[in-house]
Amino acid sequence: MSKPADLVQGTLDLLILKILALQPLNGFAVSQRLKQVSGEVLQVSDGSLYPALHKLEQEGWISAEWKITDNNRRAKFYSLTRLGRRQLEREAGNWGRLSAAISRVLRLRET
Amino acid sequence: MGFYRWLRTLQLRLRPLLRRENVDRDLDDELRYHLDLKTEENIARGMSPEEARRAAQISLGGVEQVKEQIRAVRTGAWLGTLFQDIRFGLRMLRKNPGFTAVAVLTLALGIGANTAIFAVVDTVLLHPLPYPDSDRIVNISRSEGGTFSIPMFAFWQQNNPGINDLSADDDGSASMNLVSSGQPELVKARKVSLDYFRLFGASLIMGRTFNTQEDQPGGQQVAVVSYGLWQRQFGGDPSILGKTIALGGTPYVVIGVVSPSFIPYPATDIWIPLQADPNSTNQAHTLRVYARLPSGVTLSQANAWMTAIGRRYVQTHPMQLGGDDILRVIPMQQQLTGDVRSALVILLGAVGLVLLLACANVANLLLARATGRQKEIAVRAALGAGRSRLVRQLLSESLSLAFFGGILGLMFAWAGVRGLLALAPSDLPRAQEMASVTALNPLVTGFTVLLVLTTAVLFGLFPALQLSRTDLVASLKESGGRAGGGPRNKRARTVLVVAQVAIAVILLCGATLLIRSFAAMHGIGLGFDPHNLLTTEVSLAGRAYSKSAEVDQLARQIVSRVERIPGVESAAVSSALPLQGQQDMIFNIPGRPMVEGYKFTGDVQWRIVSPHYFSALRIPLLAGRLLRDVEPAPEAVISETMARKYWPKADPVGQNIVIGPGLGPTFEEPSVEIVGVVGDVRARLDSGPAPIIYETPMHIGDGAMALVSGLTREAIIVRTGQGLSPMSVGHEVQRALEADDGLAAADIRTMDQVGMDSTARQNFNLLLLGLFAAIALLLAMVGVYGVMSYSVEQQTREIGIRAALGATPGHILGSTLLQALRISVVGLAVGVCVSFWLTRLLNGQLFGVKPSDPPTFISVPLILLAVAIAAAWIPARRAMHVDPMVALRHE
Repeated sequence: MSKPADLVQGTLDLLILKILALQPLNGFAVSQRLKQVSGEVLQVSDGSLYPALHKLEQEGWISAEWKITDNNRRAKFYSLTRLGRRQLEREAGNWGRLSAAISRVLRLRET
Repeated sequence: MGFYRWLRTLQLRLRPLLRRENVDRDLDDELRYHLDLKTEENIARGMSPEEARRAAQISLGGVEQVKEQIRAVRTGAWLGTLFQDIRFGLRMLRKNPGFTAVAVLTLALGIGANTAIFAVVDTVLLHPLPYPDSDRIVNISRSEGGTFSIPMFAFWQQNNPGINDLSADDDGSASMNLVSSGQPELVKARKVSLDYFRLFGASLIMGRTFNTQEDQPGGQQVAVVSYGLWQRQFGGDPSILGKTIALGGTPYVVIGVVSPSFIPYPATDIWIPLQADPNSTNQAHTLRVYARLPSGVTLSQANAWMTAIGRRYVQTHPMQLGGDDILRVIPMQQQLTGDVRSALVILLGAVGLVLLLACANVANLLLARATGRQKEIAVRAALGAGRSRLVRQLLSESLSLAFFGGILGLMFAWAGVRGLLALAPSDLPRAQEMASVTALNPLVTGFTVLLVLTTAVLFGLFPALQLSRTDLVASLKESGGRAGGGPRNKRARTVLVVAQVAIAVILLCGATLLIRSFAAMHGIGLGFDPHNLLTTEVSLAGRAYSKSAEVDQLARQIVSRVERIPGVESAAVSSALPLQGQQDMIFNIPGRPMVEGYKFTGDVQWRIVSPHYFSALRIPLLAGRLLRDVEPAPEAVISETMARKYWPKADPVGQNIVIGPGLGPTFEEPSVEIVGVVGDVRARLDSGPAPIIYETPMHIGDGAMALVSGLTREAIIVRTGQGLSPMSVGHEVQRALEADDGLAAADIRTMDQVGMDSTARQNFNLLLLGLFAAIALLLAMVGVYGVMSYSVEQQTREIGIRAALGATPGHILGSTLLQALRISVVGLAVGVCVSFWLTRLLNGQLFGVKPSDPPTFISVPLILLAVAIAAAWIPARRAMHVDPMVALRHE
């Protein structure tokens, strides 16, 4: 099993924000969803997911709430705040610009 | 919105502090939920339950580590762990009372000494003078002295371009004999000009200060008294105003009492009007001048103005004696404290080194203890404590130590400041203000807090970094109590000891230089016999003895009356005490060239003495004859140095000189015949033999006599019989002076005491630096002992093997001592090099010793070497007696 590429600094935050923008989720579900949508390319270790979630909560971008899940268990659900939505837009914009720039560089041909 | 966000963040950050357990439980729940789901998922994939759980844990990467990371993320947790760390630190300290006591005491000594010295530095050098807008008060001086003549001052006043409150006070009335209802008292009197009280913002509790008429020549004689004198002499009499007192034989009417909050410099008991006569021909320089810079006027502007005025004065007053006309305007604070600044800064530096040594010692203790704690640290690291977290925890332990050291240190400092005040030389500027400092002020306390923080980092960081680098696996594997400190720990401790030895060398070199300087000052012959001499001083300033014939008469009376006291062998009177002389006089030798730029041939020490002064002090006659009881014409005796300086080839006896040429008609004494040459005496202990002219009062000009009486106190010197303590006749002498002449006898001391007092500043510096050096030596000794004991303990096994292989006890002793020597020699080398460079700073305070004095630089390393060997001796003996069998089983 090859080691997954390290996430670019700060991209984990962006991914979490995006996933939570769709619906409030608990930590385990976030981890599942990350693997699903990225087609197992991005393997975020669970060990770094939770500190990241708590950091985002500290920043006020997401808020947490204890809820009872479908299978009747208590779990902590995270949802995006208004501040978080704005942050997501900003970060997504940045990411778009960055990846576009990198793609342009990579398309350069030798002459 | 910004506010809400802030509030929310604050709430989130404080929550962990307030409900730490809740938050921890939340975290546990959250992670457990994750693990449960993950385990279920793994089971669904076909793993056994145990396997599934384990895989889930591995994918999370350790529950405790994740929790620790999350806590670190929640910045608020930082404070929480800090409290936790401090609590833990305190618990550790309580568990090791011996270690804690030694460390806290060492730190308290260092911090306390630093705080005390800093409190002195703060009051003397940093604190503004106790006057309104004191930073604008300036002193005017010349490069060759700080005093001016009355005509100069009057000229400045008339041509003042805009400096405010130009105020003069007369150095020439330093002490006067006060006679009122009570006992006569020698008071510190000061003639001051009109603006003096306004300049210094002196407030009165009663009456008023002088008015313009009273400051005119011939004005009414009025006096303003200090609060202290009012209480002392007049018992706080509320009806003092309008009463008449006799000051130096002149009646003065008391018109005011100054508030006790006014602190004058120099200290003053009574103020009388200067009454400067602008037409005076008096050329004596006795006035000190202060002024206030108006706002907007810079120091350099004022300097330029005063220099211009000084030039103009020289051009318009050809009477002037010549010399430097460059006037300097400097802040009063600088003028007042300039000559103690360097000494205080040196002391501050020295005491800082002591603190550094103390830190090194505590760091060494911590390192020693660290050896035993390696396992504990390893366990913590295994449980998820990151390195920074470990360092933080160890540092908070150090901080707790430093905190207690600081508290105890503040108490030491409080006592220390009082001790310093008691020891401080009486002429330490601003000591008065320090006496009124009851609480340590915010700046000093802030300094202490800074010291606490700095020391905590200094002594704590090094061991903490060392310890947190612990190799986890190796430490946990090590068996039993002997978790090896490893070579790194030992190297760290060796470096600390090297530093300690080096610092001790520096302080010891400084102290030794001062001791040798002290020995040089007190060891060289004084030129007279100081044993069995009693001295006291009276003031002849004022109208009562303004004529030299009256002084002559009085001197004869005093001598004959004192000599009648049983036990007194002989007595003499002089215009200044030996070893304190600063009183000089200009003279001409007819036909000789003038000093470049001046109108006289020379400027030497001048003493007006009773004729038998030389026999009473046992100053030998070298040529000619001594002064006589009857003198038909003016005669003088000169010292050997003066004879050699001015008559290197000829015989001075029989030559004539002019005393005080150009000073004015009542000062000049033409044609004084030199009748003899006497042996040299030292004018001061910190200077070599001085050229001196001695005369009797018989033919001195009245103006010169009054000047001398005002400038210095008349000294009465009494020689008692062999085997009789001089102090035993003190009371009788005092009574004779007070009862018969109404003169207050001040400062009754033996001549030995006069000598000690005359070097009070040097003694003070010596005492403190000596104390610091002693502490340094002790700390260095403890340091060497500590590192050697540790090293022997570490090598017990190796020593055992060597003993088993046939090494003799002597070998082992030798090799252990050699190890100590190697460490010490490195420290010595560093210390000597640094000292060589640093002791130059002491240059101004040394007499008869060079800063690079070879005996000092040879003896200090030898002393330290001896101390290091002594300190290593006990561990070395222990090594010698290691039993090979026991040692090999050791572990």
